[in-house]
Amino acid sequence: MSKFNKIFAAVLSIVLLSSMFVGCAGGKTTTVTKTATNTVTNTKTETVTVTGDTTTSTKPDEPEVKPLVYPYTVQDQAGRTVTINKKYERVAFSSVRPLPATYFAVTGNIDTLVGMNPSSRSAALASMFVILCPEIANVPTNFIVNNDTNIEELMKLNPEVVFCLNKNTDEINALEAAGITAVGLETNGTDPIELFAAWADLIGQVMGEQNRAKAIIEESRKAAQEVKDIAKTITDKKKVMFLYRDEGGTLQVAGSNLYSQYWIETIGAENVAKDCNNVTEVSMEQIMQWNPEYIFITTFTKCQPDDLYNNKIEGQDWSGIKAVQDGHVYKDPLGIYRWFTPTSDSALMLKWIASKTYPEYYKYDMEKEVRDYYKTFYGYELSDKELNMVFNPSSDAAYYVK
Amino acid sequence: MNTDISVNNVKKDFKIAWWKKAVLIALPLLVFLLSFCCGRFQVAPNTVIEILWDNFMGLFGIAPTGNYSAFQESAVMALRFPRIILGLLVGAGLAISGAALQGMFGNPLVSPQVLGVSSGAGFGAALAILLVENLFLTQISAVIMGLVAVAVTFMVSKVGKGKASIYTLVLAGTITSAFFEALISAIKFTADPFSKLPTITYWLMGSLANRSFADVWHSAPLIIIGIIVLVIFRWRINILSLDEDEAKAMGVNLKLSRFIVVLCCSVITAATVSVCGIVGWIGLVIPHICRSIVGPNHKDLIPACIAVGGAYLMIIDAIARTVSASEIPLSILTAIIGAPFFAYLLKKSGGQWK
Repeated sequence: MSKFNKIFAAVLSIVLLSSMFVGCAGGKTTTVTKTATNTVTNTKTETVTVTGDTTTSTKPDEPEVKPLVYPYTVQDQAGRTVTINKKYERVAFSSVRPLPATYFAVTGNIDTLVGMNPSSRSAALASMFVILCPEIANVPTNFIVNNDTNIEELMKLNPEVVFCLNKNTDEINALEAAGITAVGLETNGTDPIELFAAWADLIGQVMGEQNRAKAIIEESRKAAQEVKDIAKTITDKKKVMFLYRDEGGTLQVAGSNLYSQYWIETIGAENVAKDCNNVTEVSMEQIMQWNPEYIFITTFTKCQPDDLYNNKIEGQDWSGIKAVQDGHVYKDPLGIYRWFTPTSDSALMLKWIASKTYPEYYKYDMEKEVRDYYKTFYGYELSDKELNMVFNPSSDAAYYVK
Repeated sequence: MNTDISVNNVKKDFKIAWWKKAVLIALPLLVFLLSFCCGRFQVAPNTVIEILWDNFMGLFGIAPTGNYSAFQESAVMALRFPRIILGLLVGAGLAISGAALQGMFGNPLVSPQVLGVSSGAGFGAALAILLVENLFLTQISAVIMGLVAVAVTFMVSKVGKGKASIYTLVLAGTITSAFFEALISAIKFTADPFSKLPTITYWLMGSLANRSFADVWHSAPLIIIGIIVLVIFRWRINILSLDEDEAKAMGVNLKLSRFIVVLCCSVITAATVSVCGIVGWIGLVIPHICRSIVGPNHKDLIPACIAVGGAYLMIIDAIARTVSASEIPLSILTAIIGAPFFAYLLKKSGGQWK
């Protein structure tokens, strides 16, 4: 029995000790919250909105130095009014994988980035991002485990503003309680160009750097308009399919209410999987029934066009599919991020998929387009080898490197 | 429901009507042939018949005569055929394991899941998906972990000294199941929520989508061996269902007999999970349905389970691949279609299988 008593005593003391620590931490948090609330109340009297301010040039290379009056407020995508007190120098991204790349496109560097999601890091290492900006590999990610933010680990990084998914209300509340400015972002939607535009615009407003964001948004919308105008003249709706994943017995296509729907519809074609919701498991037979004329394989899978051309996958027969017979199977490119999703490269993705599906209508020289775009917006001259990497992503890019 | 599923009260001369036997033989054959016509890719029934006929005659070296495309033949023979075979084997295997275990434990609530095999095999599969994502390795991992789980169940049941009673085995199985379920949850928690997690979740609900002949070769031998041994052993299961003293009095080595039954059921269950994930409900309900048709004598019950279980899963899989563009997980269908039917049977029989 004495053994049992000892254990009991040990457990009890641990519980007591830990509750003391919790008590301390709690005390600290309260003080921080108080200061935070104070600042907010102080600022309320002299709030200036930056959105009305549009007299800026659109050249990204020479951002106009424009005096900002702090504090000002912005509307985030969680429907909150966020007060910006100063020029932030410590920024973190807890969720939404493509955001660090968006942030880089908007601010031109990642000098102020102090933390991000580990998935963003591994995606960056597999893409052009790490080539455009090698420092991305060193940004801390340890405050996120299993896609959950550990607020205390995050506080160690001492961020001033944290961007996260707008649905994570618990996280936003915890951040605000800790005195960190939280900004919520939306990921739901089918239009990648407008989703990206909203992110870039919001990040630009929060960071007080809107020139580059405006330029990229304008370019993306221009490309979308250009493609839509041509699409109006197209009468034969080609049957297109996005193969989302195909490995280990899993066969998934990207259906409607996902970016796939936008890419395919906008160029004037038809998504054969439009009756499927989101990402859907289907049978080979279903694909035979659809018989797509064009297949685009995402970079979320190891699968390559050769696997379909050579009918290498057991339990599937691609030989009779029109796209395979005609040689119209393509791997999605991988630029600053996966082109399937909303990115600062979205204008290029739209032009690329358009010129692959309807070369007779969309006469884009994609190599030149990509080179020019990267030079204009990221200030980087792509080598032939790097260009080749964009258009022919390796299978390894599907998996996240540690 | 008749909770006394032992054969104590069965008359020796209990005979099954000839038409029941005929139906039980014809049912799986009919379903087997009809399910070749089901699928998203439209192939007319007469074309399916031509394809099947030509392939059958091809076995004897007779040249094909039908008029169809290679693509249609591929859909029927390369895509549907392996699924149908696996549906038959998995359904039969799970039903027969359920019947044997229910008989042995004398408990109508027992299913093949009770020994912890399903959870163990599910864990093995989930682990392999998390680490490698190769179908063959996933299958091997599932079989191994399924057998590890049943070994753990056995060890746990023998921890207490004295008689390792049959109820300790059920309790040990429940403990093992709970443990492996927790491990599965842990894997789900760590899995990448955008790629691996949906695959693992989908796997755990069971599916025969995109299975090939290679998968048949990997799992069928284990399932078939298990089924054959249980069929040969079906007389013994009758004795196992008696109470212990009575069975001993008949001079049967109880320990060995029980071990063989449990081993066969474990091998079958692990093999089914390895090839198509966890398919629930069949092992629990098909034996009851069969008991309502042929009575509780395992001499007839075991073969009846092969017929009804196999036919049932072939029908379920035909529905899973036909009704919508997206594949429907099998466990959802087995329960949604099976539960109301079982409730109807229960109500109609007034809880007494005759």
